[in-house]
Amino acid sequence: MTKIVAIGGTGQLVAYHYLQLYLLGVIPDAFDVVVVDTDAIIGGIVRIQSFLDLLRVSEGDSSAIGAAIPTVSTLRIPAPEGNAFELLSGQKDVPAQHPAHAFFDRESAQQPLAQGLYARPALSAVVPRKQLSDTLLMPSRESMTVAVGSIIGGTSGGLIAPTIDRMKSLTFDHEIKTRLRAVLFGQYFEPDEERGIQAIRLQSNELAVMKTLEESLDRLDLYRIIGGPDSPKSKRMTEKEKDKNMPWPEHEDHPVWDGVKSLDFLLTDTVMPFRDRFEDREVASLNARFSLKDSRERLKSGLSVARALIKHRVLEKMAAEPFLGFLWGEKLPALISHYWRTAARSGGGWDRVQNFVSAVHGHMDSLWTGQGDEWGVADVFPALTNIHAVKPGRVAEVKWPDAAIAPNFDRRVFVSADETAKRAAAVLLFWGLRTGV
Amino acid sequence: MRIGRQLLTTATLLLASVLVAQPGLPRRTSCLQWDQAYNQIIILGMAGAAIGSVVFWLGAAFLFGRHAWWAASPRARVWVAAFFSGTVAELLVVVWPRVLGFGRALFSAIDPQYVDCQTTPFGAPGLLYGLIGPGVNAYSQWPAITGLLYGAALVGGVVAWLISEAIVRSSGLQTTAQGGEA
Repeated sequence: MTKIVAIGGTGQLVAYHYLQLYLLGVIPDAFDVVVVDTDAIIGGIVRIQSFLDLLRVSEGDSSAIGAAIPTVSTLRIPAPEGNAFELLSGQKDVPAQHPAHAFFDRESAQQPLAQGLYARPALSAVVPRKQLSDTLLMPSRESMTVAVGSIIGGTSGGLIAPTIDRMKSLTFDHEIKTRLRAVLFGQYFEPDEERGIQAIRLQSNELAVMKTLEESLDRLDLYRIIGGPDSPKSKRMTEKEKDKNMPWPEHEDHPVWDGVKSLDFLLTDTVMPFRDRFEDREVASLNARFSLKDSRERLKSGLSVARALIKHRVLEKMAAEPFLGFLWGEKLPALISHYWRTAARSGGGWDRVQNFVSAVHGHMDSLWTGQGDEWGVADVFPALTNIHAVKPGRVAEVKWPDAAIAPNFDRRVFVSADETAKRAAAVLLFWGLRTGV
Repeated sequence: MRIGRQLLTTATLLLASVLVAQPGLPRRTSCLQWDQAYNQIIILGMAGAAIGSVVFWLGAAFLFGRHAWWAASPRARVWVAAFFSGTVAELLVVVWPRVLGFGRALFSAIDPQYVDCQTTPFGAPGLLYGLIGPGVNAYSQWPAITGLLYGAALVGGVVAWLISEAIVRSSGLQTTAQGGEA
């Protein structure tokens, strides 16, 4: 399975879009993704992570009925309290002759780290990396491992080179055959000068990080740079990126969308040869497997089916239907039956799961809309007002997985009838979203 | 003398009846005959409404079940079919005679003059063999006929629902799930 290591805010954003596209069936294959940031992890990634966990059929197995599913690992490296001077000297007032002055200018070293690294990659040197374990960074065997992040920001600019370097070391230590690649974001947005981030600083960061990569990362066999000093800039709305129903980019050539397509290319390309010179390994142009327009259509289609399943209470209709096969096909009833049997076993008998179908519907509703502050699966996607009308016959045409291939009952996963109902609800939403109409 | 008086009385009555009766009004016996025919049609309409509910219920599932959400809902389908069946019976039995008149097709056994029997007392048996409105001709009892037709459709709906429940119990989702455990 391919692996993505997404670092910093930009890395998170690209990984988030890629996970959305997987849920919508635009990305067909599963992958592992590790998201690392000193800032909070985007709520949508956390929601997708827990949603995918519900699809697992056995503990320690990253597969659902009928499909391998991505594993999502998130790691928030807590930014240390205080500033760089305080951390390095262990004192509130750093003596003027302290060696810390040799590494940082006064302005950078006095930035409170808890509020971010303010586009100063060097500050990441004082961020503890012990939690960034080898298990998380272990590259995928016989496949691609792609790091994604910005080389102008604080967190990613500072962490991306050491992270790739660590992954490179792991390939030697564990004799792993892999191809290490990277999607690197140069200056792609207008700097927020009100927050003390000047354009000149971003350019300087970009140059510094690229130089580091060139000198230290001989195993980076392909990379793509998005943005740069001369490229068109987009307006980055950092706060909106953390909101529910984050809108998608408006244009095909939006830097973030370009990053998503580049990530997919670097994950799936198997023909690009390794080149000796570092600068020759840059992917200047690529043929993407998907477009923004097609993806929007899939989004509309997937959301339409998921909403129809809930709005029209499909499961309750099925439970009372005398002509089951004619109306709903063979696979969906077989899938529900499979989970119902599992619920009866985990719940302690059929008498206790008489309302299983209603329970699944209830869970589907709460999974979709969320409860309280918890994100729903619908919150992960852009809000759409205009969706397709879904006829009942379309539900039978969804590519429901074959319940006959479901693995044996794992009591560690299906701990109760209610848990089984919740997992059944997740499976129905997953396949409804992925197939669409 | 007495016989002569009786003849005179009879002749006076006959003359009076001829003078009182308006020209073109149907005879009582004809009214009774047509009323009985209409009553038969009402009973047929009720039977049709009940059977139609079951037929429409089946038809709705197979014709519209994959295209419309109401038809994909087993319970909604039963009541929509019953309402539809009742409405069809109402249109045939109650609305048709009022719009198109008697004397053709389904109502060929009833003369268009039956409408005029509303003002003629002819000893109408009433609906459902005298259970409803004895003495009142059937044509005038359209609200009761409407109720009877929709009631019959409702009974058909209940029968359809019972059939549906029986099939669900024998081969529905839960039965399939439980059966798969064996």
